Amino acid sequence: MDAFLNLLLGFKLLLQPINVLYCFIGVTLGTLIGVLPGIGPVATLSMLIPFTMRVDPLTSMIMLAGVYYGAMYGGSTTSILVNIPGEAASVVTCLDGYQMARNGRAGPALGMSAIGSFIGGTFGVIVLMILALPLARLAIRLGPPERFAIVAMGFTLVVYLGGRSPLKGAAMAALGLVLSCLGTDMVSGKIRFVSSVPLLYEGIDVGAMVMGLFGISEVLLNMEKSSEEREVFETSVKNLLPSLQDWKRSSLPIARGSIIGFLLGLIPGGGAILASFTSYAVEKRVSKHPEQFGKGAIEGVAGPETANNAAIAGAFVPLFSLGIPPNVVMAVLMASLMLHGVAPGPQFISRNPDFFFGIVASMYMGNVMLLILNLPLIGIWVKILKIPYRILFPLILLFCVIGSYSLNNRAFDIAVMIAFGIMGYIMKKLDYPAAPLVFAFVLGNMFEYTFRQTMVMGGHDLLFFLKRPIALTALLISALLIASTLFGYFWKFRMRVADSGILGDD
Amino acid sequence: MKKGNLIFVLTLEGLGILEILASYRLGLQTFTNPGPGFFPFVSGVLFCLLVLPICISSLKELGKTTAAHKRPQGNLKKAGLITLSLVAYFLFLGLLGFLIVTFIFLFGLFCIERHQKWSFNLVFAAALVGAAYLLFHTLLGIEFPLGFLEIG
Repeated sequence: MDAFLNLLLGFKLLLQPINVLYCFIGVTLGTLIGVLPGIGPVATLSMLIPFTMRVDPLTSMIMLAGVYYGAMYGGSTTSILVNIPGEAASVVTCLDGYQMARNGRAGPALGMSAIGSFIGGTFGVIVLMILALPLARLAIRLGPPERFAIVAMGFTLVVYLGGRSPLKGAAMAALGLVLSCLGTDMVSGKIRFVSSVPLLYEGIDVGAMVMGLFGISEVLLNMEKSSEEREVFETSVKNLLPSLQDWKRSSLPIARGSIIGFLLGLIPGGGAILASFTSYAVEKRVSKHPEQFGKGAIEGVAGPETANNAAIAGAFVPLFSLGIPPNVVMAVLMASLMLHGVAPGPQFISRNPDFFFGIVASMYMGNVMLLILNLPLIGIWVKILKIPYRILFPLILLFCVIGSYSLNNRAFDIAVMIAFGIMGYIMKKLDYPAAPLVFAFVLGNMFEYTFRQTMVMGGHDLLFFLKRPIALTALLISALLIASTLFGYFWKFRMRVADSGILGDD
Repeated sequence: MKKGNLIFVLTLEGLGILEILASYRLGLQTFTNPGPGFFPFVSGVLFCLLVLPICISSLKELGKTTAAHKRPQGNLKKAGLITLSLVAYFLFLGLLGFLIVTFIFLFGLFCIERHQKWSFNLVFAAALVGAAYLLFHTLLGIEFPLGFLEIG
């Protein structure tokens, strides 16, 4: 009942014209960047943060959240029509979506993708609404030791699940921690490492960093490709509504995708990408015709597209109830809230139910807007697919330079953005993930200060963690994950030694 | 690429060592009563330890034959030109002001691809600067640098 009343309050706030307008702008921009390959939600959100500073935090968050879930809708369009994922969570949609388009079934693939996204997104928002208040009540009991342990677990999970090389991911997370130390120490007031650069006394601006790492680096990488490498769209789109047979085949994948997506969205390091891949793997495993997967099975579109949208709602749970972003997009959203002076954390929902339920309400409305944008208006997005990159990239760079300048009205942030842009470009070329770096950078200060607070609380005794069951459990999970990764490395090393021994004997 | 990876990780390792030394000077105190340098010190040590195995494997890789694993090189010239344009934008923004620098910047970027005539690029760049100024300055109220000519 509480949740329902709060939702009504949320809708009351949402229905102010400016909020509806920003919700619409957010989902439209989200669909646009989802459709356009070469620019993802992280880069777009980081570019938009400075421009949302002029509206109140709720309006800004409604728009930024809209960009994120809108990108999931739009991302499938390019996957299906040109076999290029608009954003990472739609990679798996290419496998069957593009094959459906090649078989002349682009319409039903796009239709089922939009409908699945709508169902997954709405399911996620309903569960988010039901879970939020009980979780918020639980979260209030969490003190600095628990928060420290949960952040530590988050770091471990992001590194563990995040990429192909956990070692590179861990190194980048450690670099993020190192960078988060730059500037003034909040406890002693001492300037750390940058005493000769007053512009860095408050640390590196996260907006400039993210714009560089994701926006500039992406443009530099894309410009390396020749224009011939970008495929031209020629498929025709008709009959968007799926047939009865399509519905029969897709209903269970949509149901499973909703649950898988929401649950995986909750886990730090999980998110939409993991959700879509897991859903695809599950559908292939339970299917009576697994041989059809990769050749145009509609289940391979319906399941993952539902899952990646449900995962977004799931990802809001740890952000708002614990103040811990489970993935890099949420880390950027958290950074945006912090720039507005709003700090998500254990008491956030109970103290700001109007804010939280305003966002929940906007997600209901946003999903309806997206269904309209992605079904009857699909033709517009198909046309946008034809914009050449030579026109697009100067616009992206213009947004980046103006965005970073307007963060603090100073050119210095442009220099910071360029530096991180070059670094991000090198990292991408050498296969180093940027997400753990941003994640650790955003949470680095919280990690340090909750540890220092815990030490003060516990009388400077490390065993204090043993007296706090939640903190202990989270630390044990982290230790197990680290141990399993180290064991994996040790095992590989042993096998290699054993192999070389056999060769030596020969 | 292998050489590039080695240079990258060696740079990171060097930065990590510098950070450790600098944080030591800030004052570590103890593990249970950390000083301002403690957390940077620990994260610096952790960083160096994690980069070290990547460094070693890069060194080992460098010794192996490279021909089979050579990746295709992209158009580095374009990426380099864009980076230079961005650096020039940063350097001249304060001096020449937003309108002039942004116009030159956009015109230069459109010319990089060499698909349109220069006159088209000129008009398109001017139109975009106008639109950007209207949106960000007039509507959103962002104050841009005027430069020594005080235009804008």
